[in-house]
Amino acid sequence: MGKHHYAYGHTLSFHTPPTLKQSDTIYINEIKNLEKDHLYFQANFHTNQKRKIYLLTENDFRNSTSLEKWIFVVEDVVSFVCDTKQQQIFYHKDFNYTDKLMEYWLIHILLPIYLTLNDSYYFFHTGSVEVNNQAVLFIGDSYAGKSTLTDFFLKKGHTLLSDDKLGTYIKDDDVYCTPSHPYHRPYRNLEDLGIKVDKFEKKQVEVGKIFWLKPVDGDADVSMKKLKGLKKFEVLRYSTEMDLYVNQEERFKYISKIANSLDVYEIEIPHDKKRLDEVYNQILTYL
Amino acid sequence: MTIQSKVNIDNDVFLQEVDDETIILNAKTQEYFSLDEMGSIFYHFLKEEDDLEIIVKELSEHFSKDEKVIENDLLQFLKSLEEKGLVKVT
Repeated sequence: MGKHHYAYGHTLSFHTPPTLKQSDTIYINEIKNLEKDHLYFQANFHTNQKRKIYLLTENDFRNSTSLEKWIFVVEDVVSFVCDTKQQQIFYHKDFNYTDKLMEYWLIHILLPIYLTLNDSYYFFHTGSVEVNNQAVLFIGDSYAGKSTLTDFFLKKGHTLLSDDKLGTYIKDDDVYCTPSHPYHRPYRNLEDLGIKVDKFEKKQVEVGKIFWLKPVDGDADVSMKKLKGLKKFEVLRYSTEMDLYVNQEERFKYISKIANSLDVYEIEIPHDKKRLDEVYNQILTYL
Repeated sequence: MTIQSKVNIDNDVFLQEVDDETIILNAKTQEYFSLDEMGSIFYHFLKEEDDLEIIVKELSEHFSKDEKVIENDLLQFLKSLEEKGLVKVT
């Protein structure tokens, strides 16, 4: 693994941290001994990439307002020891460890959890590209076409902001996002970050509009409907990358604020890749 | 449940406005609901006041409606909230 990476607005350094840490850097270092006997509470996630994954903590953190010290375990591969008050993450190798697997789990899963728990961002499960200096988000169910549409926009020359997870935050009543990482996966391979994309934005970008993708028959019209109220809230909440049951009231306020700040559209996408140009043009008319 | 009952909104129940709708999240069950305009008004009163008789009186004056009508609507509303685990009625 390289010595430096970019992910979610941070530099990842694999060097020992200096006395004075860079504020935008997270330091990633190996530890040989994993102490976890004092962590009695285990919160299981759904099986991911056919791996068992879970959090270990001292206490049941659900419904608490914060969680500082925890271990994220990818069974048989790697454990990450985290303290959200520090800018340092330790990893411990298990018997199926490889650098490539560690990189995948660190960037794709661990960092979004870490940056959620330290209140940096609210993550959405979304593809996102830059159009007219604003972020456009594509949300929807599995197989709704988020990656396909993101890929189509990239081929049209737009800049990638996120292939899968996007961290957002509110500043002066506007919603911004921090681009995730320069990898794009327009296919489904296990534990694979995807292809490195050259046209990737690193600066923070204001969020423009959000499109909820709804697949329809191949010969149906490309139709657009503006969502309001509960339905708008529902699609945003459904697209929340991870709800860790921490700080729930603040997170509810945040998602409601996003819902009140941004336009969200439901777009019906015909199940026919030859008609993506039509979808593309229709989206552009709403920006 | 009667107009003399006391109502407490559960600590795990949160309320937010989205567009013109009021949305309630029950953090315990992860369910969320939308309230209509009257439900939203009832709920805001219940956040401040647990004496139903006072709420009925104030709303009756505010809407120039018969107290009995308001009382029936309020009790029906509370019953639906209680069924969803959003309030405790004693």
